[in-house]
Amino acid sequence: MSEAHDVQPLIVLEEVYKVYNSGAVPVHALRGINLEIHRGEFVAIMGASGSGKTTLMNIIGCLDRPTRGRYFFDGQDVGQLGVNQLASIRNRKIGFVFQGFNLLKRQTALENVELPLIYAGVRAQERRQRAWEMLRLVGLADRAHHLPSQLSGGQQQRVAIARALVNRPQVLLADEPTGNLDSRTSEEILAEFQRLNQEFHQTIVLVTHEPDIAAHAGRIILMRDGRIANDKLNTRPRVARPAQPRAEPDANASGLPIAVSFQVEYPSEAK
Amino acid sequence: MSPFSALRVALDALLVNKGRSLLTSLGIVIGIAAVIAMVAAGTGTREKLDERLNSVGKTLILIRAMTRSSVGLLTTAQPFTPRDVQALREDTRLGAMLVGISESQFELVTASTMTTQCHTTATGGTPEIKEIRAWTLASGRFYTEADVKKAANVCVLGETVRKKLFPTTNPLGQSIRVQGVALEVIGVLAPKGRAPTGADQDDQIFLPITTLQEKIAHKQNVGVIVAAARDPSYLKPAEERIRQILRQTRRIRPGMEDNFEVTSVQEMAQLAVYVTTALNVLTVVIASISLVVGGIGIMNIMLVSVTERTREIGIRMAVGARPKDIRNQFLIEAVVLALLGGLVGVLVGIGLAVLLGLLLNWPVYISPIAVTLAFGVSVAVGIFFGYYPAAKASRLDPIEALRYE
Repeated sequence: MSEAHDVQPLIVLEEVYKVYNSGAVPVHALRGINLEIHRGEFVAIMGASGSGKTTLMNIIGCLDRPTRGRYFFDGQDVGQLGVNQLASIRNRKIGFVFQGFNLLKRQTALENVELPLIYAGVRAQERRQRAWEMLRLVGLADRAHHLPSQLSGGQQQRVAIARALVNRPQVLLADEPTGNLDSRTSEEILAEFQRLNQEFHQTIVLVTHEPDIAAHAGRIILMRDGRIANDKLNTRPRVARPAQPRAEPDANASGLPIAVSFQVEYPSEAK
Repeated sequence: MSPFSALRVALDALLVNKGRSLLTSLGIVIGIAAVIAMVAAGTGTREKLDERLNSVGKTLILIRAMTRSSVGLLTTAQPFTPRDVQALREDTRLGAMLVGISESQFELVTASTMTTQCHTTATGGTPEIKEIRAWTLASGRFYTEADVKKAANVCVLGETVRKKLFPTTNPLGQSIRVQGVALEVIGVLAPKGRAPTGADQDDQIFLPITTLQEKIAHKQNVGVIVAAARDPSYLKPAEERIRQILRQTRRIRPGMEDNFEVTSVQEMAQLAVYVTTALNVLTVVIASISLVVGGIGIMNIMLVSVTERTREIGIRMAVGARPKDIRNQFLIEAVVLALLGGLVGVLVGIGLAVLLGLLLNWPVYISPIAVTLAFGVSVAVGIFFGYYPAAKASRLDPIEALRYE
């Protein structure tokens, strides 16, 4: 991980402010954020509700733009981009995982995973194949044709993770990903994140209000009143263990080529 | 996003709410069906009318001894005299424009053979009537000038009369009795069918006017003179000339109303065209209202759909859908909805047209242009009324949309 620090950071925020003027009184959600996140990091952003962590997440995810200050993602000044370019960045470089899973209810797991590829203009056959690979990676190949309502919460969140990863994003953004899950399933999902981070050097930014969850990350940023109160490396992250080990042979057999493809993909996309 | 993917997404969304989709497109269905059915019936009617007009003779001029009262009612006037007919026949200018002139006297008669009898019309005339009315013979011959001169006891049967009197045997050379007078059947006419008025033109017996006047009717009562122009362009001048001559022979002083009527079949046809045109205008009005109502229905249901699927829109935006992609998705959905309405409308319209055709014995003509136009209009309605909801969807803020419950 240390060699990653030598190259240009993936995410750079310089004096970022965000003010919401929609109400009667302007809300200062972010008050001068300076932050760098490097490739391969697993960062947890922690804070109580109202601390500005979700606003920060939305800005990092290119869903929103700073009121003031500059945000560079992968070397690009996001503040200068139009809606279509933001959409393109979200599509190709960012993968979202939400608290409420946010799967399309009427589409199967496989179709949900395919969704980003549709907007990336990938042809149907390749779409299907890549979606399959991702479902296999998260251990849900046998649930490909199930609707979200036919899946457990943990399974739904794994489909969401597969969807987030299908376009090989630079960063995986997870907003309270375990918020709707019981503690055992939470462990499973966190184990999935740790595996993605360790095996594939997937950059992950996780937003949570629970210290127990944040403790699984390699770096913990504490937000308070729209500012970063604390930013420290977590030298001994808590290791999450899946409650019951998955059928590893399947995951491994298919996981290997994907691991390679991730390694190859990163330098080529980091222009 | 490829157009095909977009189409699939739209169809999926519509199929989830089958009943709602169907009800929404009902306005379009009604509008399109009305147009298709009316155009089909209208075109069929016009063709049928045209066919009947042709059977009567497009250049036919009808001169009737009738007066039009101040309120437009026709009443019988003094019949035409041989002198009237003579004057018309001898005019050289008319002779150049007309195929022929024939006085006609009609009598309702009973015709019988040894075994059967029927009621029909006996039409007395001169041999030119065959050319003027464009009759063709199925068998035998028509009566001649000589037959007229000597008031020969001969007659020519229309097909309907032949069927009644001689259903199985050959009538040529046979004798029939008309009001008790024995006439020899010398010819049978090829059938023509109904006139624009609906009267069966084949339900007639043709005989020399002299025979009819002297032996059957025992009176001269020429109510009608028929003539035919050599070319449709002669119709107007010929009618005018006929009017001039008859005013002279019938001694009508300047300023007095005619006591006869000169009309051409074309003029009658004009009336029918007015009626069908008025019907068509009415149909277009009804269809337009129906389409606008249908379009508003589509707009309404699309607005509901956008609200219902706010979260879906947020998800799509989060994973990289551009505003344009979202707009197109809903626009395509609206167009597909309208197009489905159009398709059902075309089918219902064709069904209605066929049904009408069967009930009223109309020929039905399904115009490919009308069908193509119907689909075109459906697409236009879908785009026009779908644009606002689609644009609204595309302008949603992804964060707000994702948070929507």
